[in-house]
Amino acid sequence: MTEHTDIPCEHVIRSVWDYLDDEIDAERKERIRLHLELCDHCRDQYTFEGAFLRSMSRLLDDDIDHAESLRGRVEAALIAHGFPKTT
Amino acid sequence: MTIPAVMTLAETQQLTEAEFRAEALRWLPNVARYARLLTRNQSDADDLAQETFLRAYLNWSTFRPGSDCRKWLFTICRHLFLRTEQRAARIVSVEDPEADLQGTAELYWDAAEIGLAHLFDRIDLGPAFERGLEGIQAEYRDAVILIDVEGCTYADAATSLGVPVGTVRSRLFRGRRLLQQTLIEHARDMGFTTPPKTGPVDGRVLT
Repeated sequence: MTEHTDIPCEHVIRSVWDYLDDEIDAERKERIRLHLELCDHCRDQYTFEGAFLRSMSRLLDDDIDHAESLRGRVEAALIAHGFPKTT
Repeated sequence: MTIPAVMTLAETQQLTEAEFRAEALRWLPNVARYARLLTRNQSDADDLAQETFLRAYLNWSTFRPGSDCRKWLFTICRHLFLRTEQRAARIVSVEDPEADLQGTAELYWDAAEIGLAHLFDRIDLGPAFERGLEGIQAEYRDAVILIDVEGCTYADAATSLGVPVGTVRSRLFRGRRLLQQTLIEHARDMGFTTPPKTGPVDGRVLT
């Protein structure tokens, strides 16, 4: 949607995952970054996909509802293998 | 490396255990959730989490101080899981990353059109993500969990799964597209959408 960069939108969109995962060479990354600065259309999709990836990276961060009972169970198994009891 | 000569065996053991508690046991909730994503079953997940910590404790001397303990625990957990499932050597199906990239773009346009451009900024999607992952075929799910949840690089994931990087990339892109599709459908069912401002959308076909 922009004529101000040397890389067409189609290529930018095709690189969305490689770019967001940082699995891309530095020169291409910079060209895409410049394109995204100027092109709302591509930037909107990158923002959407980036939010998707951030949501997933946070999946393991919430506490679990049975943390205490599981902790007790794990500690009991460890103690059976020589782990000292907490004082 | 210098070891204080006066340290008794019991003291050395005490130190190891304090380290294990501080470094490893603090990740218990994360490992439990990771085990849950892998097994898709609470009881199996708890068994797997317990076995992971036991294994980690018995092999604590192989942990490199200063490295990422959370990642180390996930690796142990995954290996234990794969061993029980015996599915590490799954046959590769024919996959086309380009088609999945195109599909991903189409999903985004579709989502934006019905007012879901900010869908993934919602904080209440966690359970839907987990259910979505549960519904995806194992080889795609493994790639998504390794890279998106665990934070592996494509190369690390390829080593873990015993497949080429190109295969990991294909499976990852397919897995993400399938997961997004599920989440968008979920959002639609939950009424998160806003009606389109214009008339009917054009004839794009989602595959």
